[in-house]
Amino acid sequence: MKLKALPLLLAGLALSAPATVLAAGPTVYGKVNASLQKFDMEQISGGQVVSERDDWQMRSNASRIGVKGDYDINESLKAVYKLEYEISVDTGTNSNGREFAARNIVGGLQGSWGTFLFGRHDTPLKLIQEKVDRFNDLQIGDMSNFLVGEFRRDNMIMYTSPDFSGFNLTAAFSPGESAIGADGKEDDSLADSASFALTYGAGTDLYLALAHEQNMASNSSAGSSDITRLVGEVKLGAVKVGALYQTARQHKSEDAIAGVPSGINQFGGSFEKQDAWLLSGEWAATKAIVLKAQYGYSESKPLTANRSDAEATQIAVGIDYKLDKNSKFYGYYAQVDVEGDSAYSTGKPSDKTIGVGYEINF
Amino acid sequence: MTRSRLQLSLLLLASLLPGPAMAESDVDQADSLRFQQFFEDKSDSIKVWRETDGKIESGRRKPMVKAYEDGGAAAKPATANSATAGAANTPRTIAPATAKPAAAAAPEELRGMRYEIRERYTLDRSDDTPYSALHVVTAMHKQMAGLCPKGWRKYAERSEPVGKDFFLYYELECL
Repeated sequence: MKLKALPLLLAGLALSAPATVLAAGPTVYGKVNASLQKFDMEQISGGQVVSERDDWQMRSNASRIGVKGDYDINESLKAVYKLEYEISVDTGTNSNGREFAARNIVGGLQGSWGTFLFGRHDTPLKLIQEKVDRFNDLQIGDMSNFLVGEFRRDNMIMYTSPDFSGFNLTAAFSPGESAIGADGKEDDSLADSASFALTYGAGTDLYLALAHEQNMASNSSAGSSDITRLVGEVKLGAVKVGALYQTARQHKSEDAIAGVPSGINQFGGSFEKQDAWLLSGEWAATKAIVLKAQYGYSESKPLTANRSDAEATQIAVGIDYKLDKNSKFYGYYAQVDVEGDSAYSTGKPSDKTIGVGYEINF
Repeated sequence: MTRSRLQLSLLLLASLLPGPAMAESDVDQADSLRFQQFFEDKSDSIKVWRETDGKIESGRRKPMVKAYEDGGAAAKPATANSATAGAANTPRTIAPATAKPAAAAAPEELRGMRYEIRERYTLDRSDDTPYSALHVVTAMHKQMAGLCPKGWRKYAERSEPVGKDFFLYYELECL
């Protein structure tokens, strides 16, 4: 090839390259959320207090960085992706010593028919809470401190329908990939675990959602929980009121429900069922100040026969001071009290924290 | 009405006032099932590179505003005021945004505003435009001066055929 022809060839190649490569670049998003916390906590085992915490700590509260993007494959179909990682702004590394911990990492396709995604992702049941948990991601304030069902699952295949008059349907499943369950058998089917959600009015003043999942657990663990969750939230002017109810059951008689919070876990270790509910509200007192409160309750039945339920109660109150749309100072107090069968402990552990923090969304 | 009832009434009234705008940034929607909306660009989405030329873009983008009506309408000669008048026409936004006429907006509000403008021109003779490829540039500059009185940065230019003529497009950002 003559050298003079090379620039022409390169120019031709550049012109023939798909325009979509530059047509839609990736978008970066994330949040930095850190708080100073005063903790007052204790853990019991065999009727004895085995650990106590009474100190100040700085905590990173699910700070994260994500990259999302899409590009047109053709006029009616686009490729989409979301790669989101948790970062620990307090120490730089998480409990595994890693700088980045995978959160929701998916690729997929999107069209007028809906969105298809595959990868590691929160289950639809987890996501229907939207913002009803007013203290989501905060120490002791997050509702995962008293109820189960906050699962992020590996190997998920998920479909979400387009909006039908405010209604959306999401269905997801994941193969167990031969994870061995409590019954000693392998989960080796295509859809060992499944999660379904029906939502109405997401992002509007009236939101309702119902979800059910079958044989579910976190990550790639063998499934073990069947959970049904109902969520509602109404916005009246500056006031929002939300509620959540759920019931969780062991999938098989050999199973124990997964993801039981440690505070409850000390009253039995493994549980066959849990019923839980939550009420929450917030009031935007001014454009900058939001007052919020939450009350939650769960009762968990131990697998061991003739043992009484472990009851957990959460109370949380807080105030947000918005600096602008994307950043805020906040302060809150949260407390989770648990009591259970006296065979495990005659004490009633009470975990408390008061914290002040700062959150930046970008 | 007693003082306590008045306070209660004011409290109830205050509770019905609209609260702060619901934040709908990318990170908020990332924790929801609203995938259709999540994958759309928001007005404050942070792009890793610029769509048009692949270069790194600093800071948040303001949405692109089309400062013309769609359709192949014939061009009229630009007058001294036509650029400002053009900005005052109902601009169409590519992403949701409010486009204020330059004359009505404070300079700090205009900073960073991104516009796409266009003008029709001909390479021969046309009944639909008085502009040649040379003179259309003057008309475009009058439009830009009207939209961005404090100056602008032009970062893209293209021509698209319309009948026997062309539309010349500029994409610009106000300084």
